[in-house]
Amino acid sequence: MEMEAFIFLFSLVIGIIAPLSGVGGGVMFVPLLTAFSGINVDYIRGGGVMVALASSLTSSPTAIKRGFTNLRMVLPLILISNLTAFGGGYLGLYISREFPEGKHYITLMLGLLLAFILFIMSTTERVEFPEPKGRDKICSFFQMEGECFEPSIGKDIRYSASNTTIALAMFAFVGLVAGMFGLGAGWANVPVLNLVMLLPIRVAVATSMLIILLNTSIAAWVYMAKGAVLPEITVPAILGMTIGSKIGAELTLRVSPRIIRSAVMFILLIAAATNIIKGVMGIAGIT
Amino acid sequence: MRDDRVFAETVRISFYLILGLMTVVFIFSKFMGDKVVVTNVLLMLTFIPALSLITALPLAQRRIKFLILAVLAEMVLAYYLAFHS
Repeated sequence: MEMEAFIFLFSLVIGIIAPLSGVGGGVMFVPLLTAFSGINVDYIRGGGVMVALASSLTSSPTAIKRGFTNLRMVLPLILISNLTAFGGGYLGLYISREFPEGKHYITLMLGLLLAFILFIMSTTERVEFPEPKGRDKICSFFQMEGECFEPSIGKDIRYSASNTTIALAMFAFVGLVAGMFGLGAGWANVPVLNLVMLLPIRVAVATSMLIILLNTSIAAWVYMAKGAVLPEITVPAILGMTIGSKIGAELTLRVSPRIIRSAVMFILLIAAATNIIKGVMGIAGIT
Repeated sequence: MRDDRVFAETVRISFYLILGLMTVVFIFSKFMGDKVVVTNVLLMLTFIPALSLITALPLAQRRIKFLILAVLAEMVLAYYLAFHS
């Protein structure tokens, strides 16, 4: 019961600060729990996939109703990233179970990936309203466009996808990494949607959540089939994350996002360093 | 678009229904010591995206119908490979 209470409170805090900092819940849940608990990394990744799914199930309906994203925008991207997310789930479990030091390699790779995510977060400038290029063939064929009311400027805006072919290749890689490590991949989806497909930032965030909603269940089945989704971890995590994200959404208007973002990056830096040290020590046989 | 609205509403209603069910079943499982039912409810949570796509299917445009069917086919294949191979 103590572990469930710890995971609930842990996820509640992550759920509160994740929406404020602009990162999804999964990218904080998996590395932090791996770094600061003794729970097997496979079970944490299984829980992480379910947490990412629950976060997207909570936020996507409102975003769709407000027109920030739609099915036409995400379905062509999903078709590609679903396949790689499925392969990624298998690859991650294969490495950790088939090799003697597999779980240490996964922990080390998770730390390195987190360091890379931090690099992206600190160097990527987000563009509020990028200028769209001409519509390409894929965009025109599937009508990857929409219209919504943008509260920051108080008027309706139209948006459409650009550079779809390059974006599809990028989403294939993102799906693989997301499935492999049990992360939601909002950290990678949003820059691709905003800077490559040239979608407004609010549309990019909403579209990223819808992508996570549609491709996370596939990765979750891999973890479930291998017995890596434990109710003792997953249920308190989903409840904590759902309640926390509701509180976080309310606080977004009152707290400076820049301060929260800096605090989150500092926490992720500690988690990255801890995972790298744990991974290296495990591989070297020092416990 | 109507298909988007139906999709969003199905996601919202099914998520809160399953979340409530999951909480109740999890509390009961603590007393009964049965984890299988909770795992089955968690599995139901993963079906929400597919279920919502199916409800949006009749209202979607022809090209989008094709995409929805392709994504659903991928999901069926992934489910089969995960649990039956």
